[in-house]
Amino acid sequence: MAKVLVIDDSGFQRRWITRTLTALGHETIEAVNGLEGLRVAGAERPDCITVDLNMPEMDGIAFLGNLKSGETPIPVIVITANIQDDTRKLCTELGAAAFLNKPFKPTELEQALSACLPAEDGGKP
Amino acid sequence: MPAGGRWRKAVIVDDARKEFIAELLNIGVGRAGSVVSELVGARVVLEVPDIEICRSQDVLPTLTALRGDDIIAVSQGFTGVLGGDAALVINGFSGNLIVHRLLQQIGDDGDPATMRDEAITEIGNIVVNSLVGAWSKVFCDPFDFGLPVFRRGTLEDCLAPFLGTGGDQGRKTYAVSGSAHFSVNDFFIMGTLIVFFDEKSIETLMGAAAEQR
Repeated sequence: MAKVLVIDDSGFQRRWITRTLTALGHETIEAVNGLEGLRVAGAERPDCITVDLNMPEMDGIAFLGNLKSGETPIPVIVITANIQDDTRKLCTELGAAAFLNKPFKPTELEQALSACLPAEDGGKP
Repeated sequence: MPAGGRWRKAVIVDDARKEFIAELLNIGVGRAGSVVSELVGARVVLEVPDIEICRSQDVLPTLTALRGDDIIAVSQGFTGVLGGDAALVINGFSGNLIVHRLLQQIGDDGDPATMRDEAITEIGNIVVNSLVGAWSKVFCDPFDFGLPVFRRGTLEDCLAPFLGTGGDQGRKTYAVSGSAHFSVNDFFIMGTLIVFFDEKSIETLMGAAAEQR
């Protein structure tokens, strides 16, 4: 089981993601934008983070940039409505481990998590 | 000169250009249908959308299917080679139906009434991103998006910021709308996608349409 930080300004979307993660046996914590996400990530040290891109205060791109400059890398899965190839490429360059488009399928999130997490947390052995 | 007068002289919306613009919107409507289908977990029968192109201030009378006091609009600004605002507009009944199905689909036992606004905002966000994002492939240029804005009330209330009146007069000058009729199981859902283009964008769009001929 992993601790996953879910960052999204949409309460509905956070609920959707956390329900999916909980059903997969993971623990979740939440943040409503990138700024809060950085604070929670620093305090809680999650095993993985899911982040939306288009958010107030600090968007997902800025969040990735700030997180990348941090000391300990945490795998980040971007979950966004933005379908543009350029955006996907930018996120990858900023260190995103996976990029999912909304609406995502639970199996897509499961596979992305599996690729990010160590085996003891549900990742691929 | 009346608002919109300059483009009236500069921009000619002939059938070929209208066809190109209609196809751009068709791409989005098709994606919207696909997204709604995925969200509600049901086959969506999508009819060919009715495309209208008119001045922003003249768009309300063309939206004949959106009547009553319970209209919902989720709009999102976008910038790039084209700039403007795109909106998903549905009636309250359709909104309730989609959210009810969506909550069933994700196994959420939350109250649909309290979750409706947030859920529809997110659906609008996904649909608008699908629409405009698809254009980035057509124009080979990326778009940036503002935050989605939820409005509820009469159609006029919902679209007031884009109708080319008041302080916005002359800035948003052109509306391209496509009304898509979805059938989800036995239920009928009507959604309309409207894109309000600024003057420079509509000229860019017309130029691109001319190149296609």
